[in-house]
Amino acid sequence: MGKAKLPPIGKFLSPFAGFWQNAESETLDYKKTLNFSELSEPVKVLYDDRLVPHIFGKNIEDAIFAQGYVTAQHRLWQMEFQTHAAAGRLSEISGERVLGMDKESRRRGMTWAAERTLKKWKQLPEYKLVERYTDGINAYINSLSPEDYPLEYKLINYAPEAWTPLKTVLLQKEMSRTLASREYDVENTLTREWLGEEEFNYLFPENNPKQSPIIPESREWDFKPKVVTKTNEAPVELGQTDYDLFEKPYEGIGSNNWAVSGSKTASGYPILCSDPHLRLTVPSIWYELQIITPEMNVYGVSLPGSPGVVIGFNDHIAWGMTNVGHDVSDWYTVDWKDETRKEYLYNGEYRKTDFRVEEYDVRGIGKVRDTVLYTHFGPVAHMDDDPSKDLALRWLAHDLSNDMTAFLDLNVAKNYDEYQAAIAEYSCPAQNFAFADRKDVALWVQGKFPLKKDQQGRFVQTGNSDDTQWLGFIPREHNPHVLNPSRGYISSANQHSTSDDYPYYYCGGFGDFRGRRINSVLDNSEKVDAKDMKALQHDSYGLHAAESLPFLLKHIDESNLNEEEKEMLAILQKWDFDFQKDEVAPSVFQAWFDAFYEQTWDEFYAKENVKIPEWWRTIDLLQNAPDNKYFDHRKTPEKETAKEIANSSFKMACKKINDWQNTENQAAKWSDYRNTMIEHLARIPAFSLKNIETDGHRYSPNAVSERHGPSWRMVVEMGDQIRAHGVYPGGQSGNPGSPYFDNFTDTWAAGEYYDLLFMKEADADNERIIFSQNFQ
Amino acid sequence: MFLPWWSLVIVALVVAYLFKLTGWQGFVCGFLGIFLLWGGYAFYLNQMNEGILASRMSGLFSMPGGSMGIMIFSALIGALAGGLGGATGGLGRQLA
Repeated sequence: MGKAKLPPIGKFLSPFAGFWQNAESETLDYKKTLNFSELSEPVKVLYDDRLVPHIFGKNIEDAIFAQGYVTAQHRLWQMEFQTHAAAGRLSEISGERVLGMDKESRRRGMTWAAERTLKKWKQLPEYKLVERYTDGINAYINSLSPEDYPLEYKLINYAPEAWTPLKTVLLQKEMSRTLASREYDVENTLTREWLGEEEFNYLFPENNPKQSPIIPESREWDFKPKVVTKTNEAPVELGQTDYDLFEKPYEGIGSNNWAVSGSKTASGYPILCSDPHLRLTVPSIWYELQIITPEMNVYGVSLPGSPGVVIGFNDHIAWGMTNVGHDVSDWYTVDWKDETRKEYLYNGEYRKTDFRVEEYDVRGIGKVRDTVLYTHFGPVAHMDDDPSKDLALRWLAHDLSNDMTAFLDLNVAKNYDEYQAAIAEYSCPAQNFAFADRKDVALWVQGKFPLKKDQQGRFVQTGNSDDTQWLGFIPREHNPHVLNPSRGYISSANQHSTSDDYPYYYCGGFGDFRGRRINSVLDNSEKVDAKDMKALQHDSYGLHAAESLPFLLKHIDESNLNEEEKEMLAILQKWDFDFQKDEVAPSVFQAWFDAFYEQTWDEFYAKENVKIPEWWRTIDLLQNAPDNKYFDHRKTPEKETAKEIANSSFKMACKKINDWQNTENQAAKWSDYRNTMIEHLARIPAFSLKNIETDGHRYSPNAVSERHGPSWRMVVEMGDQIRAHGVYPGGQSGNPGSPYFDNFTDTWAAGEYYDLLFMKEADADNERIIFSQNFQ
Repeated sequence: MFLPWWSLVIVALVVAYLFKLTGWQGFVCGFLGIFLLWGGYAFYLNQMNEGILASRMSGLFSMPGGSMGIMIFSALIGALAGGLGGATGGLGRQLA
């Protein structure tokens, strides 16, 4: 956005029409009474001192209407911008420079999938709530004159568009892209071609023996699994390496959740905690609210653009989610009949390719066309100049699915059975749903998981027959799940769903360190309370550092160090592996580990599109095989082992830290060095929150990195009275001119929480209520 | 606001015309009038907002002077438009 065109300057600077109109005061000046013909009964909205709306409706449809209105009131621009990104329509707003991103979205089949899914949603009874939500948003949009437009519309000079149910579906597909599109099929295939099968399996074992899986090993599987007798095909030979692949979702995206059973809490009631880790933006991906009707009282965070509460609690249960790392995106080669690509071979016959013309209305240029080809199982998302190198994508998010009702049903669920029923149909992006009520704790790894042969989906496959397609889906009752485990808690942090006794094959990307740390703390905890839980969400202990640093230090030849390097070594030797914001040791360690990693895998960095062995495997080799040939640096005639690389990378790290300190003219404190920024959604620097001072590392429970981190932190104490605590960085208002734009950020950065106001009645006199609004 | 922002230009023009101002007088009246109107209103909005938005916007335009700077700049832009309108009205009157 920084180099975008200026808006018409007279209009923009006018205090009557321009940005000055977006200056808001802390005391709200909304209209006290609003009239809507769409409402059947009056709705009362009470705003508390954090600008969280508490919506009191007499029926669910009116309440959801009000949710749409109020969310749009605070976040309209964000809602439209995010769904335009999903639909591949950003170039309508931002012109040619984002056309590439748009093309990628449409080639991935986002809009195609959304249109198909919408057809399915229309058949569901809950669809009317999507329509009411849409009506609420449009009621807000229709009330706007140009001087009322959100700031970004004025700055970028365009007007808001009406909302449609398709946009709600697109938002859901966007979440799928963020959370359920990670795969390394091409990289794995190329790496295996290069290394050979034996070396590949040595460096990329599917099982990390140190893992502490989500469903504890003590769990015995009490079902009869579907048997897969087919074996996988021989690997596809790709040959070339210069694939222009889709950008991968960031490695650090993940989340934590856990629920401690009454047997381990001080109160005797369960405590549920959930902190989703996403790209940190302003406005925040989350919008906090409470919805109360005679049948429902739910509090939590919602996704602006989608009705209901996504992570939260009601007066009976609490729930939260983390992402499941299972690979549900598979790439296939296509056997074209000829270079026209009009037909492709499948099961011995030729089928017609679907040509879908995507039209882009590019601001500043005009209409641009791009054709996307579809096989019956997915779009040819990767089209090469050489048709024999095309790849088609089978992605779970393309399937007809009902992922809308799960959250609406969780909002009214009262116990474990109703929670289970609520998520039963949920398919994509698959999530680890944590659950607690006043007596039980449970976790379901819930999604639609493809039934696969061993190793299927890890590599590119041939797409010309049924043999290589997914064999079906794992029956949902066989999804990994556990209720009241004997260890006294459930937890997930994106690690492996199960130990290797689970009878179905799956592959994917799984974290390691956070899960182990959280489980180890919970294993050793007794009589926990909310304070302990908050401390665990903020825990910045780096297990990867604890497991690698002692071994790295052992290799250091102190006689070879200069004064500065000796100082840095001393800092590291005293360090407790905690990634605290004001400490220099974490910066030195991380610089060292990164250099060590790059030096070790130098031959991998030199090649295109190969997979590099993961941190846990690298640490494993450092600990157990320091003479391994991979430590040998290919550019030197000598033969290095871990010892030489440890020393050379330490010197490189010291230099890097010193250079940084000299350039920035300050000590390399971890928070400054890591440099976390909460960026505005349109990347406008003046609206972004820079240099956030906070603890945390991507692989500690408090998973803060440069742009990603805990986007919401919630601790819910079950009991006669449910007490909940929460915080997110940013604020309820998406308006940079509002005092409520970023007022939560310091609290979040300090690891502190707000007490959430869980109201029972529409008590406008509550001391925390600052404004009361009537919709009638 | 039912009128577009540049209606102030028309107002300044018409006022200068009706009051038989010269071009120069028209310019000064238009300039000062709008400077005070825009500056005053922006000042009021800024106070109520505790300067939050103005300081962000001045960062956006890399403008020195913080919220005061962008306030004066806004008033100036409007004032120039008003001045030109007034000058036009006055000159037009002289010619008529």
